[in-house]
Amino acid sequence: MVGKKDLEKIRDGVFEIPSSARKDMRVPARIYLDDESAKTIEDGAIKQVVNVACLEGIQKRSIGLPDIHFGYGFSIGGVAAFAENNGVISPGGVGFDINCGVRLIKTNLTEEDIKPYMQDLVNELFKKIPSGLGSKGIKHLKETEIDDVLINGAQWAIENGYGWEEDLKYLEENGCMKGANPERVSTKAKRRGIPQLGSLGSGNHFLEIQKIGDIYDETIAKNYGLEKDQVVILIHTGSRGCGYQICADNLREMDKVAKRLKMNLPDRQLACAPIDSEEAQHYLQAMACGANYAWTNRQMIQHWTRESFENVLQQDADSLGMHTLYDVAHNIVKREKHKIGKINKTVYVHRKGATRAFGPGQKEIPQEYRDVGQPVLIPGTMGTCSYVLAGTKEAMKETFGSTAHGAGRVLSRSGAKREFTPEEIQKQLSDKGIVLKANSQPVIAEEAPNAYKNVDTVVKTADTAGISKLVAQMIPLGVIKG
Amino acid sequence: MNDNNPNFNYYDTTADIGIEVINDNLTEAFKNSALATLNLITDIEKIRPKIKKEVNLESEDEYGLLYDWITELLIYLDSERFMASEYDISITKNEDTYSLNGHILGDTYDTQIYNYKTEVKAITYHEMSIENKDNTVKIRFIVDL
Repeated sequence: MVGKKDLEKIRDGVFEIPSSARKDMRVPARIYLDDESAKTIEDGAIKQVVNVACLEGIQKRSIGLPDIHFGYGFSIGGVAAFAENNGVISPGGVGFDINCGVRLIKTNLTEEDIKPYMQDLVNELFKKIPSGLGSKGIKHLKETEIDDVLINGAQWAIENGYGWEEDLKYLEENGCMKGANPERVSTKAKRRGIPQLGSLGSGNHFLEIQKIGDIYDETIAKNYGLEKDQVVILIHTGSRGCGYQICADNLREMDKVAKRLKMNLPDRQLACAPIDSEEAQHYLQAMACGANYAWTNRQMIQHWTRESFENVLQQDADSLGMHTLYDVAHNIVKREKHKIGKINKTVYVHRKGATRAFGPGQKEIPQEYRDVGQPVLIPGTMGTCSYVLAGTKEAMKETFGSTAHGAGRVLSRSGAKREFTPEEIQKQLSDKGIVLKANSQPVIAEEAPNAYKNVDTVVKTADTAGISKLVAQMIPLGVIKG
Repeated sequence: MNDNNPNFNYYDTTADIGIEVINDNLTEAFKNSALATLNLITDIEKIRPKIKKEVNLESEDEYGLLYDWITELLIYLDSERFMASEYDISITKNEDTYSLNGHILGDTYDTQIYNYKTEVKAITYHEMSIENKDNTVKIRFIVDL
């Protein structure tokens, strides 16, 4: 079986498995790893990057990022681009949580300013933002209203009073993916989504109050409006049950296509369909709806975050400088133009647990950031640092403008529960001065910082390999966990 | 009906969790697959069978039916906060499909009454297996958490 032993080092932080390693590979598999991780990476994850390298129409290389871990079909922390003329679309290359992503809100506060209010802020955020099992949003949508959310995304939220018009400028796709067609979304997916709009959910999703720690690139940090000790708020959530069901429905459909076309897939979860097929087009229209749901969701949570700060600090959000820095999607497929050899080609880039990291000059980036590259937001795990990086030209050349998305799990959930108790983790965090409020005790143990690969290593590898550039570190002060 | 000693096991995967059930027939194995999934979310044996719902599913094969069955229960949870702990169902093999029909019984999930462990997003096809031979049905599948 293809595994670690086949990894060939290209340069620091970059390894490759040549396409000759397995006869069904169409392109090489490239994995971004530090030397230590190259010795410990699971063979299963490598096999998945190799499996993706076998799919019809894949361009250039199948990519594993520094936070790669074993997923379903596609690895998590993976990127694959398929040519528009002969490629495929795979819901498994996006994942269940469509447009799971991260938003960062700035403030003009410092840790000292909010220290006396930390517990109150965490309590207020926990009260205002629904989280936990089947958490229901506050807004009670009517059956007919959900279609507007699915078509218009964050724009719907702004029109309904959740946020500021300027926020839209700083969201990928301006918070609204075109081509969304609610007719392609099943009633079941809508039923799952209606009660949950405007909720954080559970598992690895969280909201954190953080302060800026080390700054690695002063010029870019300044461009993004970040400085040492500044308080920021990070929101990590996605499309909730609506997105999960869109993925589940389409995997079923694609599974039938794969059977009908007698595709010889190395794994049933890799189910895919040719881009020009009805099934692929339906999925793209439905996925856009899921993505729009997620942007709406984060927009509403941002609105309640502003309200929570206003209530506790008795000052309006505008005067607290609570502007959006950026919002990134890390589970999505997008139609983009990339240079393949000497040709500019239209491809469908699947990013599963991967962040877009467009470099300087790209027109998709907001004007203010265009000279330095887009902000890349990489959340850590509960109680560990998160990072802001910037997209690079190198990423455009090597990874279809993509980089890592987080820490990447190394210990199974039950393994984490065997190793840690929720009380232990809570104490560890409070010893560091971090205020935590969570719905589920078991989730605290499952999400223990040591259950994940060290995020510091992940971002360093991404920086060393050049697929994004370290800008600033963020240190957690308060955590809301589903 | 709900078995007081449900026959299921969990096994580790890096990111999520695997479920294994072994029974002497497909219907029982499907019931235990459901209990095992929902037991990840809350202690399923504590959910009172107060409310009854009808289920009718039809799929192209056993794999598709298992996928649809677990998905159906997750849809009830997200859309109506309904969690079922008892299943009065039967599975029929038709000419070229499989169907599952019957009733499920449970309660509206209430955080004041029931505990909460973790969220289950979906069932996956990844490494799903259904072996049915010599009066033994063995099912293995992974759920996305």
